[in-house]
Amino acid sequence: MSLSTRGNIFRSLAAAVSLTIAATAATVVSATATPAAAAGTQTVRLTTIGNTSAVTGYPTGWPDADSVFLGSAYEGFTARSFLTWDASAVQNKRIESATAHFHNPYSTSCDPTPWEVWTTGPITSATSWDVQPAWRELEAVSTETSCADTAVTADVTSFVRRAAAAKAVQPTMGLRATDEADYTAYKQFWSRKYTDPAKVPYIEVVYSTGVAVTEPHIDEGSSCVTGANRPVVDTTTPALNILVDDPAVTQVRADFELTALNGTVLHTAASASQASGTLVSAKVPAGKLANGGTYRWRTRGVSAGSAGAWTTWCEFTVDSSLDIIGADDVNETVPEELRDALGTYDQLAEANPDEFGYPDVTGDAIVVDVVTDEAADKAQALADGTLQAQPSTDPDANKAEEAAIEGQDNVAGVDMAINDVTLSRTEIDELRDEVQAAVVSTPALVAADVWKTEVDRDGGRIAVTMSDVTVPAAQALEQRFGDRVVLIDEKNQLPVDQASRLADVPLWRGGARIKIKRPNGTVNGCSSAFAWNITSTAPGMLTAAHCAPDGGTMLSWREQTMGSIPSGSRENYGSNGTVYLPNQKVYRGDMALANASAGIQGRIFRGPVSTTATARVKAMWSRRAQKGDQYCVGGSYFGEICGWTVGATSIDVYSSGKWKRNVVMSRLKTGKCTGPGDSGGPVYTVNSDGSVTAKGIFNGTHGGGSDSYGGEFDPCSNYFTDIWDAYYGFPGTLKTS
Amino acid sequence: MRTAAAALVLALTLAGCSIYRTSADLVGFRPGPGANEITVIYAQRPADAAGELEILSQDAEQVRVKVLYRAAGGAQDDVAVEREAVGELDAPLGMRTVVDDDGEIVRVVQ
Repeated sequence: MSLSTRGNIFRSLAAAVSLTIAATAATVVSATATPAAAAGTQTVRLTTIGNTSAVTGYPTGWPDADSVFLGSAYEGFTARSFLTWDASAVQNKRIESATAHFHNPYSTSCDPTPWEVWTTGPITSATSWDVQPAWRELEAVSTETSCADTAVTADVTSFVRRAAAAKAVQPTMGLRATDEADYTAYKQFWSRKYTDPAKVPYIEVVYSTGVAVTEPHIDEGSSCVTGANRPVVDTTTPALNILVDDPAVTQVRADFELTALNGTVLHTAASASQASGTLVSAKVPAGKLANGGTYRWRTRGVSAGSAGAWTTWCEFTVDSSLDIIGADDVNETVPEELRDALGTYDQLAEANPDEFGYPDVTGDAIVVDVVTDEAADKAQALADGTLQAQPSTDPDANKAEEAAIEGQDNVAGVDMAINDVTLSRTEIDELRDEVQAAVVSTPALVAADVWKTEVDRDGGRIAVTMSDVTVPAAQALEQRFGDRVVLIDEKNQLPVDQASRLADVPLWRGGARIKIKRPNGTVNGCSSAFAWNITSTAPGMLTAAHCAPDGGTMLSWREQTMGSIPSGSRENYGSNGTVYLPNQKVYRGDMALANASAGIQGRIFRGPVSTTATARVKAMWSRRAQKGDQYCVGGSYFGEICGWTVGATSIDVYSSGKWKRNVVMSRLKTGKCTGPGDSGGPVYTVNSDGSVTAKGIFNGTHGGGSDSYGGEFDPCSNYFTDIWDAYYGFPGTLKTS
Repeated sequence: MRTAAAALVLALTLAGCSIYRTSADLVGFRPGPGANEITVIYAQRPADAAGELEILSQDAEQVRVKVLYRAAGGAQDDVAVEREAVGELDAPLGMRTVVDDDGEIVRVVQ
């Protein structure tokens, strides 16, 4: 680390403040468009039309300074900056990329400390540290740092795209240090008021204009691919689809070309004009394709009489023997007047799953699938209003049948037909389990993105929905299940934000499985502990220091960036074990604090590894842990394990070849032990209302034998860092809800 | 002989070595690298010895696997690292399901 002298900070600030008095006219470089090297794209340079810095302790912003500032230079001086850009030149443009350039005359450290670019609300005359524009979207994190007045950059493509999409001609950008408690992260950038126009901020935008196409797909779903994983269709008249977009016009259309694999043209078509940004389709006429054949197609958009480039070729195979149905073709909507009746027959079938199949509706009648004569008799009795609980039937033990008996009025006057089938409801459910097991363990099905299964009540089979019905996927299901499954081709539209311990999403919670990508590229598997408010506007997340012994990037298990852990200031792991945090004289166990790149919530996952259940974090424990206290550990690899008892406090443990100083250790315990990957997880007690009280950050295990299960001869214990050490050692407080 | 064996066990234990092998938490699997091979990804602590893949059973429907390793002795940080173990099957994995020694499905990873 190389630090500039403290004097430079004051000289720089003095220059900035003096210019607030002697403000000069803004130097604005006009936006100019120039042909780009790549065909079809152009570049334009955006400049700022306003800026200010918000600084702690100052009642107003610094709107006329020749510089903008970010980060903390020393205690009591923290700055954030806001820049308003002239984005009129990118209206109605398709943004390919955008890079912000700032000349960086001063940094407290030449280390690549991270700084963030956000979309914020607008600057106003009241903008100051206490009255900041809303910090809306984190757009980029850059670690570029200069100590020699050279330019640093950040990829701000999403910032410019967001502005163009919103038709915002004067978007405002916020700049701040990722770690505002790290005095080495302070930076000064020249602003538009600086005297050298070559060093004022600018964004270089690469954009394209004209018509563009995306998402070419055939029939209901499928991707544009060639080779063995090409999609398969079950018709010789599929629909070819493309999304056509031109930001500058309102009407577009598409051209389509269909050929044999050898290039022989079989069909061309031009669609009618329709609204820009919508899906354009063309159905292949009968007689062009043959069963068993493999073909290719491509498309291009057309707007204002000008055609865009053709897409790459997309291949597909026709297999009429397959039964690929539309999502709306399975379990069609039940007429309202039959829903109560179907529900009642469903209750009867649910009560007797070995005797019934799944009832369905055909026309105006309920069709009840049965596999035994007894089931047929029961269905008829229900229809006749004479179904009664058998003497041997305890209604309390069969509430579904009891409900059917009580609902006999629902079926009165409704036609019912009995249908003999071979698969019972129990067997169909077992079949569904088998299909689901195959889906997660068969590469061809994983590649096809199978995302839904359901019982096709009419066919008594399992409907399997996938984004891409490929030949290998269809073959895999045919080989395993024959005609007991039917295929549905439908793009996966499920939101990906269904959070679980294994797949957390913003707003981040504790107790989730995380990855720490270290600076050397290696990856550690760990758990998040508790969300943490570093400041009122800076979210954080606690974990164990040995997960990030030299800092790193915190990722969710799906590798979405959760934040970053600065080395040294936000983790206390040294070459021999626990080290002091900067400017502290107390060892504080094994803990790390990430700067979260998105919001957090005061909740943790509770339950087994696969849980989606969360609990509210109510508070920190009212004191440090004491011998005899009970606690739970919520690691993401071994799940929630309770029943631990504090056996010793303020101890040093020699673990993994290093001394973990001032940690809390449990008594030996039999039963399930904690294990690898649980590090960093939450340690807590459960309150009577289901909320939890935070007690610490989990660190490691001792004992438990080869099966991670403590027996009489190999009990296990574990150790953790007291939550009060996080409170005393890191800035901020526990996030509660 | 019995005394010698006990002494060996005691010596190994005191040296921080487990004489028993630990069954690893399986993260996923993928077919290959060889035609008849399967690669299983598992989690363990950094100081643990590399694991070995055992094919417990295999038939037309299912392949049952587990990874065993010798865990490092003494107190350990509970950080997990992912490692891979390769095993040889009688035939290409094909469409068969892979399960662990508890019968839980192991997920395919790309």
